[in-house]
Formats: sequence, structure tokens, C-alpha cells
Amino acid sequence: MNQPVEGPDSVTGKGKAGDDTGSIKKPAIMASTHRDIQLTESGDLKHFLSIEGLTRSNLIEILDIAETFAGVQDKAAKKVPLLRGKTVANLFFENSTRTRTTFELAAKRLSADVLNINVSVSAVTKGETLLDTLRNLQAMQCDMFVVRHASSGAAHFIANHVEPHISVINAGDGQHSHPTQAMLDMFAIRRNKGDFSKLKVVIVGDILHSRVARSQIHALNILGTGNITAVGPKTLLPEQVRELGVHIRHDLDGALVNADVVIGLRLQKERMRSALLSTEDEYFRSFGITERRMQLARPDAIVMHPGPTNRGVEIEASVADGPQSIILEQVTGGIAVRMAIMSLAMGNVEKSLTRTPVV
Amino acid sequence: MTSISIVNCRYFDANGNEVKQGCIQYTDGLITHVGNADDQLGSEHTINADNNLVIPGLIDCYARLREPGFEKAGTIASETLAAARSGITTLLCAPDTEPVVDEPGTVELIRRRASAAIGVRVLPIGALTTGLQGEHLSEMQILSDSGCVAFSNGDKPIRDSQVLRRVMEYSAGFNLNLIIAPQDPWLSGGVAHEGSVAIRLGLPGIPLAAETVALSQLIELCYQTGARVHFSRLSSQRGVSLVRQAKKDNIAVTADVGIDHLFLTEMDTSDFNTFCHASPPFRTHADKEALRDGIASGVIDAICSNHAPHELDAKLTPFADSEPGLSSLDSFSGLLFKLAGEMKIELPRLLDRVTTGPANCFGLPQGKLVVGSPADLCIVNTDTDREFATEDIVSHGKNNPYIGWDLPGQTELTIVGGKTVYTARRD
Repeated sequence: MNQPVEGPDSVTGKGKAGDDTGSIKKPAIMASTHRDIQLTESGDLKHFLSIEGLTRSNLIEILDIAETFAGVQDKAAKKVPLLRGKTVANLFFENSTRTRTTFELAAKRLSADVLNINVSVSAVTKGETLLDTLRNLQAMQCDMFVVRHASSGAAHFIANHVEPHISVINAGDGQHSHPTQAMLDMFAIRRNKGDFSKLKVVIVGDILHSRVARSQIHALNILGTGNITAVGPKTLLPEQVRELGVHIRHDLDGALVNADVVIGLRLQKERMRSALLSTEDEYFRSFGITERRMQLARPDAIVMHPGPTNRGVEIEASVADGPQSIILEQVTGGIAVRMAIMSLAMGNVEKSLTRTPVV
Repeated sequence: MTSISIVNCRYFDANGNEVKQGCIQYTDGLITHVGNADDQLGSEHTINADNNLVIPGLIDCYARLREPGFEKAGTIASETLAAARSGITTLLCAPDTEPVVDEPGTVELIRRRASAAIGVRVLPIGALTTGLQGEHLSEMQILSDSGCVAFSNGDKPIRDSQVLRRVMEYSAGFNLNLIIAPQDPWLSGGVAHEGSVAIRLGLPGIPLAAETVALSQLIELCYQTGARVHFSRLSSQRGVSLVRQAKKDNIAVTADVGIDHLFLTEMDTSDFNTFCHASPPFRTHADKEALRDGIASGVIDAICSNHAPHELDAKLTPFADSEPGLSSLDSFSGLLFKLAGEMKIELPRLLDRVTTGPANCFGLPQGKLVVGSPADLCIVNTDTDREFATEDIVSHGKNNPYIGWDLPGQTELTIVGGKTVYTARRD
């Protein structure tokens, strides 16, 4: 379900069966495929780049570990020593206070040293390539890169080019993937709703440009969610999205019937300027999550949003602040989930390095 | 009079029948004999083809050589060597250099550099509009006189449909050939085929309509202006259908496809492989098959390299930030012979698409193995099959994604105008 787009038969250069990399073998410089790059040879998480390619047990492991850290947060002493002596670099090529802060908190609660680096666009316009920037930071002897970048695939690119002792965590790449956000959403859903197989989850908004939605859809599918429905105007929800393994609808009212989980997505204002939408008012009329509409969903339905919300555009204020909203719980859980992912990945990197036979 | 005979060779006669134990003789740059070995010929030199296949030298009707202006990505010398190793004896080079090929001085420079290189015929394509800006007509007649065989706006579509109509009208009056890559400027802003893979990877898509909207507009303008337009680098099934219909309607259009589009699909970008970031984008399996059918039926007249060498830095970036295009000359003939095996097409018919096909599109005398034609020849060992390796890339552009593929056929000898420009032989 999570990889529904394998073509009929992408030509393999050698015509060998089991050659799963499409037709192209890359020269050494381009490194390996993204399906396995985030896992060690034994299938453990080494980088965390996208939900796609991970197994159900990978995700469950993250959620279970996150539960143990959620306990840590309630205690007076909030720190655990799992990343003591490690340096985590937050590389943000794109601004985001919220995500960066939760990563910083998560790293600190794992006792790591944290470097916050806002790699301004100017470094790039000065002619420094992403690879140059990366090599410089590598020289500072960091152990983990938390990366946010405006280009889809940037985290994979970076993971392909770092030294083997470094773990890369994707904090959002272009419109491709935002896997930690998806995991904290799964964490919140599991805490509130339990079994995924019985759930109907509705995701509303700009699916086309949303890395959050893509990651959520993959995660929900891997966790066996009963019904996932994506809703939005046709300009922001093209037909091919169906191939990610979701139902597609263009009417919110119909989609909300019997929903257990309703997820709103942030709408970028520039969508109005690029002729993808008419006005905010019309968007709210058609796709706004309102109190009236929420009555169509199950009475115990929860409302989620990755934040920050545009109140009165994608969600009504009374819903965002209302009893069904778990938006703030998502943020809190985000720290535990990121602690789980960081400690897991770092631990597996160390394991894989000690396993490597000395030549 | 210097006569050279290639003896002990195989070749295809005018009817596409294979002749074994043949002999081909050329004198002063022209073919003077095509026939049996037992014909007595007085030749100063003899080349023993060792029973290999002799074919007309290949004609590549769209390649970017990058010189002048972007010599780090490619030079006329480096790229024509790569071409010769693929058996290419004539190539049409793109106008998007720096300076743009919009004045005779640049044409002259390219011609001089080409003749100082190994000797592959380099035929410049002139800019259709000044500076490729899409606003003012270039001096097409003057450029034509100085050696441009066709005119194109390169990879930059002309946005203004009135300007487009005018360049077509103007060129039609002088019987000039145009090469236009059908891409609607407004719809082609993405980086990958708008399909399942781009949706999954979150890459901005280029819809099919980017090609078909442009083709429909261009075909109608051809109908109205009588311009001779060669549609370059088709990428889609529907694109092939539109060209088929235009030909049925007796509109004077021809078409080509880049060789990579006959092998690669959107699936090859599914791991963000920037080496497969192409313009136009690789589309679906069905599109690839339709393009192959177009080659077989002749709706598509020619296969070009669409060669786009880049410095490696241009590809060592996240996918959307990388430059589009593949360095294709080094793998061109290997892929061509691979195609012959996969398509179940008679080899002579496939070879037409890289010899007489493009020659007819642009009125070139090359591409035929007949007495009186230029002695542009290539000896190919069709029995080899070997793994394409990094060492096989002589183009400055290392952005070739076929490393590790088994590619059949090995160019033994490339001859241009009777002069051997490349030999793989040790002796």
C-alpha cells in the first residue's frame, strides 16, 4: 500500500531480477537508493529521512520508546543521559522556530550538546554549494544533523554525502517529507484512539504541497489505518494522490461522516497568488473545519493540526481551542517522539560502526 | 586521387538486405564503390573490417557542446570525440552557448574549433530570436549563409505567440528549417513528470499538457504559415499522436526523440537521482513504449542525443536544484544497438532514424551508403556486449546514468569525409 507506484517494468540495465533500483545504477558518487539508506544492514533506523520505506515495527518501536520518554517529561528531572557527549547540529536552511525548538529541547533532554545553525540563503548565493556547507559542518565533529531544507530530497542528498558516523534526521524537505511531524501525529492518535485499524482519518487541505500530509499518509498506511480520506480542492489534491493509498474527495461534509480523526493542514497564502485558490473566504466556506461540520464526524472525534494554524481559514477558532482539539498535545508529544527518534538513530549508528569488521 | 577500400565487411544495401563479404571504396572523401569483394579495385590503402558491420556515419540532430561559454561542462573537442566514439560523424549543435549563436562570428568560431578538433562535422543551429530572448527575429538568412543548417530557440520556449507566428512566417519565406522543442512556457515550470512519482516525492510536476498544448499550437501555426518545423525531443504518447495526425494532414512537420527517453521513465527519478533529471522529463512506461512505436512506424523521423553535459556540481544538489539534462553522447551507440535488440525492429530501419531520417529532415547529403555520397562511415563490431563503465565517458559531462548497463556494439572505426577520425584498434 505504501509503495503503490512501481511501474509495470522499469527496464533494468542488466535485466536482472531483484534489481529494485529502477533502471539506473548510480556511479559511486551518487550513492545508494533511498529505500535502504536510512536503515542499517540489519534493518534498524540509522537516519530518519522519510516514513516511506520503513516497516510497521520501525514505527511501533519509535512510538513505544516515545511513551517511555513521555514519562520522563512529567518528572522533575527531565534529562536522560542517552546522548551525553554527542553534538547535535540543527541545520535549518528554512526558518522554523517551532520545529527547531522542539528538536533542541529533545536533544538537550537527551543530554546532547546542541548547535543551532541557521544556514542563511546568502551562503548559497555566495556560491557555496550545499555540499561545501555540509563538509564545513562535518569538520566541526557533529554526530547528528537535524536538517530542514526547501528542496524535496535534500535530507536524502545530505545523508548520501555524510560520513558514516553521522546520523541525519529530516526536519522537513521541500514538499516531500516531514517524518518526525508524522510520528508525533501518530503518537497523539495512538494515545487518544488506540487501534489504527478501526479508524477513519480525514486529512483536509493543501495535500499537493504538504510534506506533512505525505508523511502522515505513509505512516497511517503502514500502521494499518482502516480508512484514510484526503480532502481538498482539485488544484491542491490531484488525482495521483490516490496512488499513495488514500481516498480522495472534494467535499468536506461528505468526507467527515463517521470520521474519528480530522487533520487540518496549514494553507500557505501564496496559493491564492498562484491561481490555485480563489480567496481565503471561499476556502474557509468549502474546506474550513468548523463546529457545525464537526457534528458530521463521530462525537468523540479528535481534531489535529501541525500548526501554526490560520484561524478562520483552515480551522475555526472555537474548534482549534475546543474540547476535541489535541493541537497542543501534539506539540508536547513532539518532544518525546523526537527524543525517541534521535536516541534510536544514534544508538543504531554506534552499533553499526562497532559491527563493521576492522580491515 | 587517394582511394581506400574497406574489405571483408558486412553492410545493408538500399533494400535493407545484408550483404556479406562486401567491399566499400572511397576516393577523395566520396564513396566510389559499394559492392562485392571480388570486384577488382585499385586502392592505395585497404582497411580490413574483419567481417564487422559498416554503416553510414550517424547523424545527431541535437547536441549541446557548451562551447563557447561553458567550457567546463564541455568543449567542441571533448564532445566531438565522444560523438566519434559513438559512430557519430555529423552533429547539429545547439545555439544556447555564451555568446548565443545569433551572429556569424559565433558560427565561424564554432566551425573553426570543430575543424581543429578530430573532424566530426559540426553543423551549428542558429538562434531563432536574438539572444534567445523570444522578442526579435535573428538574422536567419545571414546566419544560414554562414553555415547554420537550422534555427531554434534552444530550451527556451518563445512565450509570445505573435512572435512565434512571425519567426515561423519569416523562416518559411526563406525555406529555413526550424527546430522547436514543444514546451508550453507556463506549464513547464516543474522538474519531473507530473505523475505518481513526482507526487510521492513532492517534486513540482510538468504535466503532459506542457508538451501537447505547445504541439497543438505549433501545428496550427505550421498549417497557417507553411513553416518547416522539426519537433525536437518528444516525450509523450499523446505528443506522438499529435505529430502522427499532423503528418496525416500533410503539414510539413518532422520529429525526433532523445535517446534517453526510449529507455528511462519517471521511475528512474524515484530515488531523487539527479542524473535522471531531464528536459523534457522522463514520463511513464506507456509514454516510453509509444515513443518506441513512433520510431518503428516512422512518425518520429530521428533519434537525437539531446546531449547535455554538465559540471558535476550542477548535479550534486537536491533534485529540484539540479540542472536538467544527461550527458548522452558516450552511451549513444550502445543504447542504439540495445534498442535494436529490445524493439524487434530491423536494424536497417532503426539505423534510418540516425542516418537518412535526420538527413532528410535537414536536407543533408550524408547518411547514405551509396556511390557519390560523402564517405562518412562507421565500422561497428555488433557482437560485443560489455558493461558500460566510468572509463567509457570521455565527455566532460560525467552526468551519464548508464554506468553498469550492458551495452552492445563497439565502434571500431569512424570515418568522416574519407578521413579516419577515431579508431578503437591498437594497430
